[in-house]
Amino acid sequence: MSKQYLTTHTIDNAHITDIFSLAVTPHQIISASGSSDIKIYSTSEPDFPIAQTLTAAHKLGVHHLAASKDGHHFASAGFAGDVKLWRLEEAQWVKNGDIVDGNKAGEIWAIALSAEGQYLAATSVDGRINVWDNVGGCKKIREFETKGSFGMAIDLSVDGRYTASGHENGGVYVFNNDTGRLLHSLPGLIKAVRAVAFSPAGKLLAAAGDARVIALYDVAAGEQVANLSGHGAWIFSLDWSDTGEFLLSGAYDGKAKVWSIDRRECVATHTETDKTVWSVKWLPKTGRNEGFATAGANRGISFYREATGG
Amino acid sequence: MEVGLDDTEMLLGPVETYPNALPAQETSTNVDPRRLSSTSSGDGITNNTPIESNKPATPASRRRAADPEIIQKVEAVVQQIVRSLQQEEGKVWISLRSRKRPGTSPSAQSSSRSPAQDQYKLSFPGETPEEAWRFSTAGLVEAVCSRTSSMLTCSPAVVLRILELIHEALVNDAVVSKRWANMRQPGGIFAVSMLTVSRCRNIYYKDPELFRSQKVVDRYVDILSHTFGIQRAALNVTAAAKGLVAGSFTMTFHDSSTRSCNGAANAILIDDVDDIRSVDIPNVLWILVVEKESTFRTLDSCKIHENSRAGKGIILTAKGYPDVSTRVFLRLLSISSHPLPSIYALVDFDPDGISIMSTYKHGSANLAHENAHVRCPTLRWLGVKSGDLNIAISNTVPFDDDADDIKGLLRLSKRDRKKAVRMLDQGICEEHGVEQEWRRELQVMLMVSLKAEMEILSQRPGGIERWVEDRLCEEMS
Repeated sequence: MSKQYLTTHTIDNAHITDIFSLAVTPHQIISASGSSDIKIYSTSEPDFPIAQTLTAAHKLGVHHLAASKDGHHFASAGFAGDVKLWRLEEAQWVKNGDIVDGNKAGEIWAIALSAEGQYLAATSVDGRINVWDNVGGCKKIREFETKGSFGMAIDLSVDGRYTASGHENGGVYVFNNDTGRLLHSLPGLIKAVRAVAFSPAGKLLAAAGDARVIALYDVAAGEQVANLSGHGAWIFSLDWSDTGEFLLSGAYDGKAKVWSIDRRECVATHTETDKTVWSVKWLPKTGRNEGFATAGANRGISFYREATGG
Repeated sequence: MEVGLDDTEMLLGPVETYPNALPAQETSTNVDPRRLSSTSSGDGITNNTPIESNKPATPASRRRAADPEIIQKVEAVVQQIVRSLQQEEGKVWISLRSRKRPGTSPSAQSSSRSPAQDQYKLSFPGETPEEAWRFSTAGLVEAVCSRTSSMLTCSPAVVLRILELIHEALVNDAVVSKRWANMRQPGGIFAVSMLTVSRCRNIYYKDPELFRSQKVVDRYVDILSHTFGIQRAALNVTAAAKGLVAGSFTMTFHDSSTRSCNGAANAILIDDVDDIRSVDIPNVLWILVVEKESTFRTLDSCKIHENSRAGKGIILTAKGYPDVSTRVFLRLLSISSHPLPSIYALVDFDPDGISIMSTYKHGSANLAHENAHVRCPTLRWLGVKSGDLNIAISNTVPFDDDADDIKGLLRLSKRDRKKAVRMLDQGICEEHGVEQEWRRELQVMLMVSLKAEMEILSQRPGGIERWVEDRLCEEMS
């Protein structure tokens, strides 16, 4: 059985170049691209009007965004390895600080924010995983070592207890943030892992990349519980629906897929374009229907809503 | 953070490189009769005077007519050193001008480097004992440079020795015109013997212990020519020829002699471009600059420049980063005929590939003082781009194959990533720079963290020649 999602709106040329990352808050969608600006659109209105533009945020372009679940904070990572923190203040985003890795520029890659935005976790080009406390001077509080392979993806569990990372050599690691120790080194993906995502309840971890399958792991047991196959190209982005029922994925060939976690199968495939989809995100739920957004090399943001039955 | 010169040069890319020709072959001052006979052996080359050394030294060879002023400049530097030695000033110095390096990283810009520091002095005796190798070799010289740590690599001994060798070449300026060496003879690739013009490689082999590496010579020859405000050729120093060209064209030299190369000939070594007044390329619609020799050979062997659906063309390579001769020759081709041919670049999808393309199109950072004569601003990028990588993946490789197994598809190294980031920060690839497509492709390269050699195109149906032909037709339609 498949689900139907309809295109409800498209923001054409949202950026002048590839949109590499999307982040979602309860009322907004944030987009980042190869240009230096970060754009913020309102998701409360049907035509998704632009709410704010953060100009010249990252000179060399922006490749990653991460928003806190409460919607009060987000972080952006630029190609120079520069990371900025942003805070919502009277409905406007203002800069709230910089994350400075004591290392060389360009080494921070993927980023993740905890639910209240207090902690930021980031991978580095040489495989290190660092966690900063954004309250009180952005101090680095955790340093996890891995085998030195480029950390391409990272996520924090909603409860903040775990950090997961995906690496170029296929490695997937789960760290316990309380103890600062490696919890699991997860086997299964031998190719570059470009996306990792904890399920909302934190029980499952999804990981995907060049293997073109999505591996699902049981976080507590550290075991792989499923393989979702169907993508024909490298997978760059994963996002869980609020309830954890569905997983959204986007791939290099421009396809976005919705997967049912219960049935362990793909229930919808969307191809707006054959250009790379760099980022996919579920939208805040309005009414009964789930919706999501995709963005990538076609420079636009496409919005989808589940078709109502009957 | 200060950026070391070595590092910067590496990241900026256009460091000229030189083939590893045998020093004995190049430093030979006798004209090997076999080589001369080989040039007359035909291969479709006409008007080729067999014994070129019979020709009198003519002023036609502009570059070789050593300018007395330049000799004076060189001598003035040496005399100044001698004077200060005689007067026992206790310090001896050489004043040099560093090359301007645009688009350094923000961190470098924020360091306290004033424009006046374009000029700097090398003096001795100095205070840096680790530079002893230079001292001992030269007997008395040690580098001290207050400017930056990067300039500690400057050595008066090295500079003095290079000046000496250049002076020798300038003073013995009995010019022998050499022209175009035909290559791929049974004996291998020929380097035409050099008489008085120094190859950078020759200079290196005069004193390898002092110079330590070819790069040192290359760098100081460039700094010296920049200091004197002249082109490197005016110092009678040229890089070893390495560029290759295939296709139909006629060269006219400054002495009004001509030479035609039709497409039937083997690839020709690009050399002595300063003797060429113009190049005529009737019926040529396109010129393809190829980064790598192997790909050039593949395209040459199927005579794509003769038989392509895209019409007649010329293919050219400098085997990596282009030398000045190849760039000058490409420029001559690019401005020679009407209508102007379309010019394309086929390079690897990696930071070096884009940097090589940039050297052809915008000039090299190292030779900023020569760039005006050697740029080819109409150059366009044929491939390999991230889009080609997509096709390579989805069309030729089944889903369950390992991406790492695709020939020519490689992980981006740490150095590649650094270089790509550095390039994003430079003028042409900046947010509103002239090369927006390059910026996009560099960003995508960093995103996918992969690079692709042109070999990935060979795995397509019809091979790389078919791909090139299709793309040329698309571009020119």
